[in-house]
Amino acid sequence: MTHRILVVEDDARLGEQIASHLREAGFDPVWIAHGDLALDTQPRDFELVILDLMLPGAYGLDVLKHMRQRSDLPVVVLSAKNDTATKVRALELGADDYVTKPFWPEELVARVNARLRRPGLTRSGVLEFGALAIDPEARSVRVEGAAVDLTRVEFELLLALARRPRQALSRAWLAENVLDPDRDGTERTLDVHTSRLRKKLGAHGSLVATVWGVGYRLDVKEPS
Amino acid sequence: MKLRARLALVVFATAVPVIAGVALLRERIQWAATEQGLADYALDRMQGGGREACEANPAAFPPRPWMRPNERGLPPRGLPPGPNMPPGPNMPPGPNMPRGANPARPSPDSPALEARGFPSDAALAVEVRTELWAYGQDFVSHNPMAPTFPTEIREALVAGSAHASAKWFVPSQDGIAVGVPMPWRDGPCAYVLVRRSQVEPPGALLSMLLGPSALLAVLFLAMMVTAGPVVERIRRLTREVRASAAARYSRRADVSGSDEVAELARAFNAAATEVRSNLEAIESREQALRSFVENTTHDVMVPLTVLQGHLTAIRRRVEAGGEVERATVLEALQEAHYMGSLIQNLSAVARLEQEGTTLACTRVDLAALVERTVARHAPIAKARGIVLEYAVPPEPLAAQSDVTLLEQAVSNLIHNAVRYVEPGGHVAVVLARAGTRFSLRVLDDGPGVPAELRARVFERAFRADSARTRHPDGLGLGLSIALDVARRHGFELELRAPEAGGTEFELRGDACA
Repeated sequence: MTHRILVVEDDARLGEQIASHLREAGFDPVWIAHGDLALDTQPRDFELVILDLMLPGAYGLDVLKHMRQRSDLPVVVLSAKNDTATKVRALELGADDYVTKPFWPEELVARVNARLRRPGLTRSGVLEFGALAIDPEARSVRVEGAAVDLTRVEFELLLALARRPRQALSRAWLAENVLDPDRDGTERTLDVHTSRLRKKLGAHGSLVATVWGVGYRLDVKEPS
Repeated sequence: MKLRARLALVVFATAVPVIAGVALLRERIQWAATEQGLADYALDRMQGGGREACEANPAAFPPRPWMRPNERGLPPRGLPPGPNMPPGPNMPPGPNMPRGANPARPSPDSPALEARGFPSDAALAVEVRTELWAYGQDFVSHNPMAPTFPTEIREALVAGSAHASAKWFVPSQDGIAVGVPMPWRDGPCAYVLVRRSQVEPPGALLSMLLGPSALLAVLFLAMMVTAGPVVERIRRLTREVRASAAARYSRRADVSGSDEVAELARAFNAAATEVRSNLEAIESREQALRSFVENTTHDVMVPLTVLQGHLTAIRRRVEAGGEVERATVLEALQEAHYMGSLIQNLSAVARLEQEGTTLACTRVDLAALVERTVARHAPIAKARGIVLEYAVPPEPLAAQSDVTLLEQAVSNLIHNAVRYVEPGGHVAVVLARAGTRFSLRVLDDGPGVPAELRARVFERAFRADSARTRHPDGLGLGLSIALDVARRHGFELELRAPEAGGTEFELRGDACA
């Protein structure tokens, strides 16, 4: 499914370029050059808005305000004005994120992806990543359908990573939140538990990736 | 209105009522004196034979009712003196003798007086005369020529006054009528009415006005003379103020003296000092702005030139049908990235160096800030083959800070690491809560900062022009901005050399509750 994205950017070259990069990244962008036109759009036609704050006609912040009155569509603001007041105002008015010019196309795509990423993974319910299935309620883990017997710490470690897939968690945070506080809670101990977890996950053990300087991360594919 | 004119107006405004009051008072006194004089005259005349003549023939009394005021018992010209006319100095004083403390005015025929400017009676256009009429107890005269006794006077006499007076209206003259009760209180001559026409000599009005006018003139002259120096001081101060303004307030006005003018001069000097210092501040700010623009231009021109060079190399390669070198493209990308950071740093410096600048602190979501900043440098890190990773705690973590400046500081730490780590190296950004504080670490496995340079990183006070040379060791504008931003927030920024090598910067500060 392609996400329809409204791009409100007055500069023709930049607007064209943003639309082209978003298209390459697999989105369906609609670019309009005038803020007043943005006021006429239907928010429900889009899943995200990229809004330049320095627009002719309606000022970008007014467009933002107007959009917020009609929907809670995610809005990523583009700003060449690197001043705090404008950013704070934009965030106060309900912008979800901002990107300061100049930016890299990948940077913008990353911000858009971050905004579109559904926080849909609920606390309860089985978390599934391909062959890996984690049931927080039953405290059970299956790899390719076969149950894997994990210790309490190993399960908590895997669950913590699975709740934020593709995002690294620091060793310090994991040590504090996963390890048994009554027993040895050092980061060294965490590493031991991690390597045991990897072994138990067998061929899928590499899903638990070590992140240099940071900690660990569950390296699963983005659900398509 | 000029100062002198204003002072003159004040003098007139105060002098005129005073003069008018004095004139009114003088008239009153003169009236009273005339009344008394006429009453005395009536009594004298009646007691000096008048009573007998009256009682003998009331219908014809007085035989000659009027006389010239200057008569000394002598008949006026062409008229025989009355038999009952008393001689001697019993003439009443009159208002027509303004200088007359002496009621017995000498004869106008006296050349001496005429020579002194007193008008002779012959010169008087209107006859001046004194009349005397006798009345009975019922205020009715036996003389048919006698005028009706004025009601006003009668009432006052009945009420018991020793004598009473009223205005006597004579055509074109003002007169006075005085009623006097006689000591005998009966007979046809119980009351006597003395009337007198009062004529101001033609010079009287002039002379009455002359005195006050002279006084006014004297006052005016005195005012002019005394106001002169003050006016001159004010004029001089005006000239000095103009000269000072022309000299951009560098000259001071003379403040000699201790009056209000000197006070004004002192006030002007204080204001001029203030203006001068404001002017200097504006000039120095302008100078700073100019040099900032110049430096910025210079700083941006270098990477822009390098970028143009890379793009030209790419174009030549493509035109020659060759492969574009990855390294050239990468360098072009880096140069553009560097330029973007530089401009943002210069703008941060402009804000930080501006005097009295205040942070626009709000509650800043630190996890979002880290994600944004990492996303900014991720494309370049990836292009250079550097692994840039980050971790933020799942729980919200915020700090009171100026989002633009803090982001720039963190961005500088990351950019610094990404630039100097070898390809294949790592850069990690770790945000964590530590009790009530936050800790933001940027670590890399690059060459690290040489020990001898480590202290200098944080010692150096930066200026815009310190960015003009790009330090090959990477210790340029960015780190000094990071430190300055940290200090202004009350945060700590520490540089460490981990045992395993590389560099670690840690930014710590108070987190929001």
